[in-house]
Amino acid sequence: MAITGPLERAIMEALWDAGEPLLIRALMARVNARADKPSAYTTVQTVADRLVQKGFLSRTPDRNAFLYAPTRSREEHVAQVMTEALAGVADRGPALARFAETIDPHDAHRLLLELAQRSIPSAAAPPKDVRT
Amino acid sequence: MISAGALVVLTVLLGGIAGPALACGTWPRRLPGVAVAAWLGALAGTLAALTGLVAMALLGRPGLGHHVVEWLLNCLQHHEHPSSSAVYVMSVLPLISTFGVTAVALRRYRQTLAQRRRHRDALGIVVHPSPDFSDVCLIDHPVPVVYCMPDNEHQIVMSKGAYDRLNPTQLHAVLSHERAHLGQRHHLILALVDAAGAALGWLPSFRTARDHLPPLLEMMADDDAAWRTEPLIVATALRKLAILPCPAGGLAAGPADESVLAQRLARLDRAPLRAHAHALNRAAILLWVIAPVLVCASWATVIPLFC
Repeated sequence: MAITGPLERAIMEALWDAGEPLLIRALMARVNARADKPSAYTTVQTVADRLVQKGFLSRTPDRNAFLYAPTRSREEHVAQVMTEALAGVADRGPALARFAETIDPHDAHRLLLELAQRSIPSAAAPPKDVRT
Repeated sequence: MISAGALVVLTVLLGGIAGPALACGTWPRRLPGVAVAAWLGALAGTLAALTGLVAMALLGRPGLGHHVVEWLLNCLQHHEHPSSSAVYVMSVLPLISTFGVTAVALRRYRQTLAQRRRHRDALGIVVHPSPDFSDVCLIDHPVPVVYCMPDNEHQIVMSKGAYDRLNPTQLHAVLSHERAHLGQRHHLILALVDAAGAALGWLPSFRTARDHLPPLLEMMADDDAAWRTEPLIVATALRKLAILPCPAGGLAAGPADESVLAQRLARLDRAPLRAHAHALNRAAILLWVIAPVLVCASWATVIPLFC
């Protein structure tokens, strides 16, 4: 199977860039502005609802329609994915220590901020809910 | 001829002693392919012997399954062996425990798959295909990480941090490592062994396999990458990276005394033996397939189904 539909990625990109909750109509305009092939209203709505089911978007009622917004910022989402990936490694300690020696100070600062929020509970528990 | 006693001995040997024996030696680090085949042979052999015990209890002369077969045969030719209800109960107990064990293993396997799917979904909305390699996708993050996600179009996930700090030969070595994991279906082995370990954790071989197989599979992939490039290049790339196996494969920490990475680097620095390793691997894999089949065949032929 494909890694994810390009439209799912395009919708997430559009909402992250917008910085505010959007109606499907506004979302469709932003997605289609960048796409080679325009997507229909119902297609965008279906894919956005699928992203809501997966927990990546939230949906709030707004008069007769729904507003869609990302549940996490792009940086938070990437940091979450990376934490999951690192939780699978047995040699997490040395890998991170080696990395810390070579990292650019600006990146290190950003990373420390991200890790400070989430690494303590998730890194201490070995391979996540597989073990439960 | 094989008896229930022989099967019990086989279960104790393969399920109780073979695993810990494989775990404490150092030769598996030199020949990880042979060691993995031996591990899987021991596990599959234990399963075959346990299945044989259940089948004998159920289908052997006084058991319930035997009675069912008899009852069916009675339609053609009337005959009957007397049996008591206590014997029936005794023969049904193994059947119930088999159902229980299978249910636990299936549940665990499905949890692993669901976790992989969740990770893949989360990954899918932030990665983009690599312009250089058709099977690689990139994630924009400074931590150097490379790992494989089976069942994807772009099966190898590489962070921008990893991509930036590897030169082309090191990149080739790292991708060879991940492609070896994917080509040899290591994710499948790990998920199955993890599920079997969850269900049969009371057998030492199954319990220890979950901790000892992942490093061996990493070493197999290292050998493959070293064979395609140079051991030294693989070692350099490993030092630069956190090369990960599939993240949601039910992986556990390696042996606590010496770090797995140190072991992997040490064996890459002593150029691994190659010429006859391939032949030995094939022989070991053959053994892994043949041994459990022989065990199954031996008990299947002696169960007195018709009498």
